[in-house]
Amino acid sequence: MEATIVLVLVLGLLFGGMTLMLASGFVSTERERARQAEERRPAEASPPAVPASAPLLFLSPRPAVPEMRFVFDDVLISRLEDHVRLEQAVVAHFVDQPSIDTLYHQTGSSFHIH
Amino acid sequence: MSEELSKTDLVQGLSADRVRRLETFCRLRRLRNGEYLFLLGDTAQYLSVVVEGRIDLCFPMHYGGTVKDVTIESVGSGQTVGWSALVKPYRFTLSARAVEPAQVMDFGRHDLLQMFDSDPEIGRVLMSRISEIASIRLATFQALWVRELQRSLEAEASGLAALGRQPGTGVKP
Repeated sequence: MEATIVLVLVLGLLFGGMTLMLASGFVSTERERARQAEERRPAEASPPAVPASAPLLFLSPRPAVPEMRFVFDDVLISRLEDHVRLEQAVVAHFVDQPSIDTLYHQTGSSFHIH
Repeated sequence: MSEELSKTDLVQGLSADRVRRLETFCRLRRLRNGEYLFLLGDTAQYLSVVVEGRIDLCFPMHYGGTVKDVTIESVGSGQTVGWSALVKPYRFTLSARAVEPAQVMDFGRHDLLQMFDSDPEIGRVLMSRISEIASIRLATFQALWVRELQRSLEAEASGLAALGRQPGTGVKP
């Protein structure tokens, strides 16, 4: 009798464990499918032009441009370094004479990071 | 060489005699165009003074599987690089490379610290110079970072406004 009870308990544990494993495998598979579906979702539309209402320090309205392939080459590096030099010059003035005006002085750089 | 060292920003305020003493510990190093003085992450063993040429300080930037070093500051004759050699954790936080044939004077950390012990005046002046360099670097990059944050904020706000949402909450007005 006791052996039967023990056997039933063991079988019950085994069956329960297997069911739990199957359920967790199902959940993780579904999560993976959802994640892959999310990745395949097409990119959102590029942001439209800036509204005129809010005063901006750096952003200026510009017409929408066709999507271009971003090539990380020496030309781009050169533009990036020119942008950094312009920024450094402005910031050097700020470090010498700190103020909100000198901190947010515009450089006229055409390099748009955002 | 004393004359060259005496013109550098590092030793301004030191007597000629102390400059000569300092010079006994330095090692002259020549760099070819494009040769790296040190790399980001290297253990900082030497403080270096540029005697000739230009050294660019760079950060690696990644895009599309490509990594390139982008210059964020340029250092010329008479200026100091590698002050991380005297500040814990003694690791370089950016890379430095010569952009033309260059010559630097290297001062080893242990030699400098021994000299500071034997002649505190040298230590006071050098650490004061290094504090100035570090302070200017901190203020500069703080301001550069804030300017980029401002740009990010404006880009975020303009993007959200165009979608008919309030900036910061993502909720429609």
